[in-house]
Formats: sequence, C-alpha cells, structure tokens
Amino acid sequence: MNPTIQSGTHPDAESLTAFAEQLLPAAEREQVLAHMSTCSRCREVVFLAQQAEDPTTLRVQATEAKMPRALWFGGWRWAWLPVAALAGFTGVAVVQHFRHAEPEPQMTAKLSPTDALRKTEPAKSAPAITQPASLPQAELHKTKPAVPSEARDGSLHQADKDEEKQLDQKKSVNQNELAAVSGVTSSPGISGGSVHGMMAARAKSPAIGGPMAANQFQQNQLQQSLDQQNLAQLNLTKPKPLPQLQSTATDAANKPSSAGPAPASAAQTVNVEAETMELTPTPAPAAAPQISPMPLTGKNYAALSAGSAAKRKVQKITLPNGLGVLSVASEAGRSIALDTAGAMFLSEDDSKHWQPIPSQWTGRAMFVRTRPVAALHGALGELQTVRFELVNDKLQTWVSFDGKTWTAQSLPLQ
Amino acid sequence: MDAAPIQPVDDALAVATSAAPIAIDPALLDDLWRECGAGIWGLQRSEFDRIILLVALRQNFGLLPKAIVARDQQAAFFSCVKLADLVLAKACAAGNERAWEHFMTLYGQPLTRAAIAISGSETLGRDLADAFYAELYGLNTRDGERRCPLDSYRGRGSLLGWLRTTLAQRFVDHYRRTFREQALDDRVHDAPAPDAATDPEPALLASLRQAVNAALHDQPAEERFLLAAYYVDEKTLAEIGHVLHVHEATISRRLKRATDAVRKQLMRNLQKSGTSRKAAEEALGIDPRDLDLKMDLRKLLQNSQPEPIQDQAPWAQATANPAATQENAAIAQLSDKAKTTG
Repeated sequence: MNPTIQSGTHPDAESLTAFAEQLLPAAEREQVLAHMSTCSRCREVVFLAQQAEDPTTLRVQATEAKMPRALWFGGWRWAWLPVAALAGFTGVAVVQHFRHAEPEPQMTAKLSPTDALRKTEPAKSAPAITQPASLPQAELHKTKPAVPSEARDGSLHQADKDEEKQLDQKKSVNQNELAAVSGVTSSPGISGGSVHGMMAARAKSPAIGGPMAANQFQQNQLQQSLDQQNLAQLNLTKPKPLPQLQSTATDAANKPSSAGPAPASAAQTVNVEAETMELTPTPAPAAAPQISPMPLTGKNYAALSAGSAAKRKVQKITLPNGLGVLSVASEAGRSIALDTAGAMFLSEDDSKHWQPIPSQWTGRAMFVRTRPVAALHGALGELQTVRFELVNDKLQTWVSFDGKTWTAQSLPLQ
Repeated sequence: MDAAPIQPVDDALAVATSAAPIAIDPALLDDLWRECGAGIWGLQRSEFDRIILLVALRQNFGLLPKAIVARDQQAAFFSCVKLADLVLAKACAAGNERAWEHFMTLYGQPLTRAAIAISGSETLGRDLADAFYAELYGLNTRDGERRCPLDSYRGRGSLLGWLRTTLAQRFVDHYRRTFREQALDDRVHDAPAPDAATDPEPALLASLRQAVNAALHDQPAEERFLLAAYYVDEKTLAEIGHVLHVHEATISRRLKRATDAVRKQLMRNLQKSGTSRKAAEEALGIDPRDLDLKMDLRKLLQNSQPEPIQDQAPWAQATANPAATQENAAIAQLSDKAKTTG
C-alpha cells in the first residue's frame, strides 16, 4: 500500500461501490477512473473492497479455478448429436446392405441337396475333366453285363453282387466327391452364379466394403481364369467332348437315391473326375457333407477317407517326365500312373521311383485301375491277386499283373 | 457522476430540510412496499413511507433540484436503486431495532470476514469490524447529534458492497494516518541521500516533466488507471481484471498497448520540445531496443498528482503541488540512469 497521504476530494464509498459493481453511467465511470488513475488511496480502497468479497464467493471461484479445464471438444457437445446420428445411420445402412446381399445363399441353403447340386452345375467346369473317364452309358453297360451267366457259379454271383455293392458305395462316395468338386469354385452352400453376382454387385457398389469386395472379386476372377486354363490344358488331351456322358454323370450325382446300381465304369469315371479336379487349388471337402445326397455312414466315410488318401497320393506323385498325373492305381506297393500325355510309369517301391513302361496298347491310355482277381475265382481265395487294367480312349481294356506286360482284354471283361 | 457525488457525512441530513415538498403516487408506494419486502422483518408501513419520502426529497429522484417529477420518472428512479437495501439502511440509521437485528443477521458475518480479508489479520480485522459496527450504530456524535454512516447510503450499489468499500476506506485512512508512527526500517533509514551533484539540468527536467504530463494526459482514463494499478500498485493482471470485469489477457493486451502509446507520445513530446531523439532516449534512461518502460512509468506515475474528482485539469496543478519535489527527484533518477547507461 502506498502510504503517501494525498490531499483532495475522493469519490464517496457509494460511487466506488457502484464503479466496482459496474453500475455507474459511462461518463461518471470515466470520472472515477480518471481520479483513480492518480489516486492511489482510492485504487487501494477499490482493490481491497474487491479482495474482501464474500469468502464463500472466493472459495467458489477458487474451486472453479482448480477445476480441470474443459476438454477441447466440450464446446462441441451439441455437435456430437448429428455426428452420432450419422454414425448410427451408417451402421444401419451397412447392416442392411449385408442383409440384402445374403438372401441368395440363404435361399440356396433352403433348397434340397439335389437342387443345390443343380445350382452348382453351371458353375463347375467339370465337363472337360470328365471326358477321359466318361463313357457312353450304353457302352458302359456293355462292359459288365456282357459276362455270360452260364460261366458263373453261385459264388461268382455272390461275388458279383458284392462287387456291385462296392461299386455302389464307390459311386456314392464319388458322388460326394463330385459334389465337393462342384463346390470348389464356390463357397459352401452358395451357388457360383449367385456368388459371382453378389460379389460383382458389391464390387460395383460405392458403399462401405465396395473396394474390398472389388479386390476379392478380382481375385476370384483371376482364380477362375487360372482354373479354366488348367482345364483347357486338360482338354487338349482329349480329342472331343462327350456331353452325354457328362449329363449322365451329373444325373447320377443329382439323383443318387433313384438311380440303380450304376455301372462301375461310370462310377469310376466320376472318381477320376474328382481326382483330376485336384488341380484346383481350393479344396472343398467341407462343402460335401452339406450337399451330400447320402448320409455319411461309417462305410462311406471309410471310402471317402480312402478316396481322399488316394487323392493325396496323386498329389504326391512326381513323374520323371514332369507331367501331371492323369490316373494312378496302386496295389501292394506297386503303382501304375498315367501322365497327361498318356505315357505309363511303374513304381515298385511305393511310388518313390518310377520307370517308364513302353506302350503295348493302341490308342491313348486314359485310365488305370486295379481289380482283385480272387473275387473272380471264388474258392481260390488263397490265390487272390490283383491285376491292373488300362482303358484307352477307344474304351478298350488292357490288363497286366505286374504292370510291365500288358495284354488286350477281350470282351467280356472278367 | 451526480451533482454531489462526494457528499460529506455532515451534510447528509441537511438535504432533507432544504428539499422542496414532493408528492409520491400512493399506488407507487404500494408497489414499492410490496417490492422491498420490508414488512417481513417488521418495518411498519408508515415508517416505510417516511423513508421513501425522505430518499425522494434528498435525491429528487435523480433529477435536478426543484424539477417536476412525473410518476413514471419516480418509478424509474426507484427501479434503479437497491430498494430493499436502501430501506434497511435508512431504517437502521433511524434506529429501528428490528432493522438492526435484520441487518446483523444479513451482514454481521460477511462484514467481519471482509474486515479480516482487508486487514490481512484476524485480530486487526475483528477490531476493524467492531469499530465499524460501533460507527454504524451511531455511537459517534457530532454537536450532540447521533451520526450514522448508513444514512449516506443512497442505494446505487449493493449495501454489502457499500459496507466493504466503507470498511476499506476506514482501513486505508487508518493506515495512512498511523504508518508514520511506525519505526523506520533500518534499510530505509540507512539509505544514502540522493547525490545533488547528479541532478540533471533544470531545463531538461522541465521539458521532461511537461512531456510526461502531456503523454499521460493524452491517454484515456482507463489506460492511465491500468498503468498506475500495474506499475505503481503492482497489482496482478487478475486483480485488475477483476475490478474492471474483463479477462486478464485483455488487461495484458491493453497494458502493452498503453505502454507503447505512452512511450511513443513521450518521445514525440520530447522531440517537439527541441530534444533530439538520442537525447530523449537518454533522458528516459532506456535503450531504444528495450520497450519495457516499467521502471520509468512506475516512478512517473507514482509521483503524479492525484486528480480531484471534479477537476478535469489536474495536470495543470502538478507544478504547484508540494509533491513536485518528489517528481523532480524521480526525474533526476531517470537522468542519472541515462547517464550511466549512456
């Protein structure tokens, strides 16, 4: 405090109070300010009076001063409402978008397995692959019913029935595999066409997820083009397509329950088709149980496992000439494989080393298989052995017991 | 400011006797009676009418004396005053016991706390409050007549604010009266006397004094108040802002602007009086690159003559004031500093 006593008149307490409380008119306030600018006494009075305000008010002010400063977005409190509404609307739009995109697979899932198979039929590129083993149904029937009944005894009939049962099981397993193969190019339970349309629509959509869907769609397109190239390469190995056989195999797969005991060659044709479809990189075994027309019993599962093991075996085989494996048959550590060019290779050390087998047949070898011979001899079960069979592109069969020497099989096949 | 802003306490009651007869609309009185709520603490209606009439007689409703006042003007006048506080203060001044009880209920504790805050000591504060209570109660008499400061309250501001301001005035006046009775500090006592040989030339002192007066006088009153409060009283920006009801950042900006303006005006005035720029800068004792005029302005403002509230030309009296000797000493210090820095 300035102790200098200054003479002169001063504003009264009421004027100073009114000044401090901002109640003075402008002109009078200017006069008081002009006086206080040179009067330390009045300045001190005003500052002391302000300092002596109600301590409760001071405490409140101190508390407010200690309160944390409002957040920078505190002034945006009302602006968050439209932002939150916009975010909610966007979320609802995204959910609705995906809900509208999903009805097709849901509808597909509601269809019967047969319908699902029919839906997947246009998407699969199986026809070119099924050609090597697809035979005319009439000719296929010729392969087995041509056996003379008088040449068979009772045991032979029983063996034949057992063989037919095994073939039926194989057929059912192959049908499962066919269904799995047909689902290779599509998601489980989703038809390829519907997926293609949905992905294309999502890729073209400017909504959220559009670019991601576009990327996925391009990858699918690229994968499909690669698959088609592989299939086209396989097609080069065949002189001409056989659409009739394709439809036969498809019908057999679509109508498993109504179809009777299918010819063994037809069933095995489908099996080959499944094996060749291993060229597609995306395995779809998970889709098979969903669309399988037959219940997966223990037997079927064993057959399916055997088929899967065979497929895995095919995958592991590497032929000396570097070509892909078209067909393979193994028995007791001895394996015979056909490459995509029709050349035959023999391995006697469980597919570790392969030696080429000179061609002893006419036409182009398309398919090899094993057939137990003991079943044909009935009581001579102790002499049971397995012979290899080869089918060329003219549906002629050659047989061999050691895989090296092949002889033409005269009809009827036994 | 009204015609009698600094009304001595002695003349407060004289107005009632000299005022012209005045009539107040009974309907307005009824409205004012309901508005002030004085009946709650026991004030009689007749006493209320008398208080209102006395206020109207003293202030003539804020208009010129003997002016004819319409009912709307009367209502406007009472709407601008703190009616409840005014009636309570007048009732207390008149010696109404219920009014005193109500007054002590409302302002007893706040006044004690304010006294403690003003004095900075609880003991001194309670003493100050007790003395003020006695003064308010009218224990002081002059010419055998009871005197009550509350009688000078006119209701322009709040009664509590008026009480605090009055309390601060009492404390400041008491301090200023008694500080000379205190023992001097050894440091101050042993301070060397200013060297007379370092005094600058009288011509330079005169020109510098005129330049300072002109530079400060050209500034608005609020800027001068800011400079004085900040540089002389050393108040903080927050304290100044609290008094002026503006943010301290605003005070800071205005202070910088006022400092720059004073410096420029001071340099201009010195050059106008024939002093070269270099000599003017040396006279101010500042480096041209240094814009801080704190020390200089503090000394200059501290030794300025207080402006009488009704005199709009205070600076003309500066040379005739006894405090001019101190101002001369300050200017001498400035010149001395200029020499040392030069």
